[in-house]
Amino acid sequence: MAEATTRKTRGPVLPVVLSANDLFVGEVVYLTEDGWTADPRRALVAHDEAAAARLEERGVAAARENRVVDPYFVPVTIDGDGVPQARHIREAIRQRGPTIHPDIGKQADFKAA
Amino acid sequence: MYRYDEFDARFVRERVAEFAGQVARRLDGSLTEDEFKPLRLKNGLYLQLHAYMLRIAVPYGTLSSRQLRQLAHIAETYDKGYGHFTTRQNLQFNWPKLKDVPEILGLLADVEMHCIQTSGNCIRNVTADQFAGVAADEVEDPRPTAELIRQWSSLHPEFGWLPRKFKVAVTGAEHDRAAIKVHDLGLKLKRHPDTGEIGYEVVVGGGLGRTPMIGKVIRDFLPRAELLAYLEAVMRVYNSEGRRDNKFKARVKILVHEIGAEEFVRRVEEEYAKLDGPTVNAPVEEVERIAAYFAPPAYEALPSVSILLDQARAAAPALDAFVRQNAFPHRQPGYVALTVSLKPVGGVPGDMTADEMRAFADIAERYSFDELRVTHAQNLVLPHVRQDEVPEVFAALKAAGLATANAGLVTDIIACPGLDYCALATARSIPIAQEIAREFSDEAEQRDIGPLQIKISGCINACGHHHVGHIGILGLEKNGRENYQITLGGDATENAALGERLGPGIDAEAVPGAIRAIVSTYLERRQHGEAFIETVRRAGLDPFKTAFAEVIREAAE
Repeated sequence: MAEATTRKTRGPVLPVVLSANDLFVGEVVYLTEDGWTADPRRALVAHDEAAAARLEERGVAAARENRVVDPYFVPVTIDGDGVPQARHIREAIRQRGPTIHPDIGKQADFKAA
Repeated sequence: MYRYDEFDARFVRERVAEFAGQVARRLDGSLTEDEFKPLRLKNGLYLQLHAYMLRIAVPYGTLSSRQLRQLAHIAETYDKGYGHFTTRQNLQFNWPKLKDVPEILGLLADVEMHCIQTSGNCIRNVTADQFAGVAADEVEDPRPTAELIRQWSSLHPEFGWLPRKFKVAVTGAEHDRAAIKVHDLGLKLKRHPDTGEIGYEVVVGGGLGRTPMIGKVIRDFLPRAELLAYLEAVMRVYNSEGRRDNKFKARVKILVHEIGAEEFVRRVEEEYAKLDGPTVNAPVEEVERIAAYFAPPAYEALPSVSILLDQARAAAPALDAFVRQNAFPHRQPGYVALTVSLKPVGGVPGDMTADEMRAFADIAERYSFDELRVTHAQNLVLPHVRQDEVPEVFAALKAAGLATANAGLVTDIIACPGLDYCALATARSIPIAQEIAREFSDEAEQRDIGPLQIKISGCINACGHHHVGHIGILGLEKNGRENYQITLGGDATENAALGERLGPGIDAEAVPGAIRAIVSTYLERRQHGEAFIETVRRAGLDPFKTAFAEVIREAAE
């Protein structure tokens, strides 16, 4: 995924959210203003490099504190409802759940995710 | 079936306790993820796209009803109500929570199951012919051999950190249903042509993935008693000489390929000569003790033909179609083995809900001596059904939604989890399988097409065995889109062959049409009684390439 999330200049393709997996449960989580959420609609969006760097710093700290596993940037676009939508198909599936099971995962847990 | 002795039971319990301690230390922060990851992998626990994934070993694909019921209980209590049978005859849960895994492992230990060595660079769960002990073309049941290797390789002190994973498959039959030529090590039980003694043909260096290879025979005949010492010699050569500098070149197939089969054999034989065989080989009593667990069940003496079944088939076309397609001849007169397809049209290949597991466990308990099998094609088998009772079994399967009559047909598709679940995948597999199955949903048409194996992988690691599919489909990513390469002519049997690409990759939407064009080409060209793969072998790839090119040309217009 490194190729998909980085440019030749340093830093991710903006805007981005920061995602990881919850250590205890394994669920996909996103960083918000005040902690981690399983709801992708609530992810904090970084529109500039300074904001992205702050996300990254908090993500690294959370991994070090054994709250989450493998934090990384997910490049997004913002849809008409203001919800961040992952650009890449892998991350889009991760954000929603298995495409073959609309009844399972975030697509079921959080409407309009 | 094999039953744990006191030693096995203690070993598994101790391992559960050990991993529970490791999980606790991970959760309280004493272990970092880097420290914990190799430990969890050794216990079958991955972190996948959405969640953790737990891979449970089903040794040589044999399960009891009690075990399947426990899996149903785990699916319902700790997962999302279903499990997924894999191409290595294992079962995967897609949504377990790390904090629950020690409890799950305890429940598995209650029914003599575990996740040990279902991942990591070690000797993995040993697979076998799903018709072991049943097939008429069998020299000997491969399961005692598989069980012996399982015991020998479990926590083997020398082979816990191999250059890469190592997969073993065993068959006892003439017709290879265990794909032994595409495993790191394949064993075929055979009779010595002169003495009649039973031993093994040993095949090494097969495998799929990014560098697919057909295995090489390194011993035509290995006396049965020498098995473990010889395997030890093979593993020693691989362990010391397999590449550790590049994980993509670390499988034994690369070593065999780089130094040549002849040189590999020389090194193995040199190592073997140095080994003190009697201290390594299993004592005869132990081999006999294990074999006794696989003694045939208490069959009744029955006539070889069931008039009752014949009459029922004549009266019920659906039953007749099911028996014609899913029944496999049993060596015991009056019995039959039934393949139970986990490939209903529109379903997820290999998936089974907790309700289906319970219903199936009841059927296996009542009609198949409490035993069932998992196939590498992601189906199940009722190994010992009385022919007289097949109509009842069919009705019970139908009521449970498990009576799809498509074993070995175009809709009986192998598909890896793909990008819907897998962190390594580059494209989705399951929706492709579903669309192809819908394209060919007409049962009469499926039967007319006949045996045809489609195998789909969602990345080059080839868990879906696409290289050895009669038609193989490989999902890749191209410019941010899923793109599928089609291969033709692969074969996983004793005639093992790797498929060849038909042309450039195509979009997901174009795949069913492309498969339709390939099948139509077969139907136009087949000679009387010729199966798909036989026509491909006889006619060659060219007519299929022409048909495929036409599909691409039309799509471009």
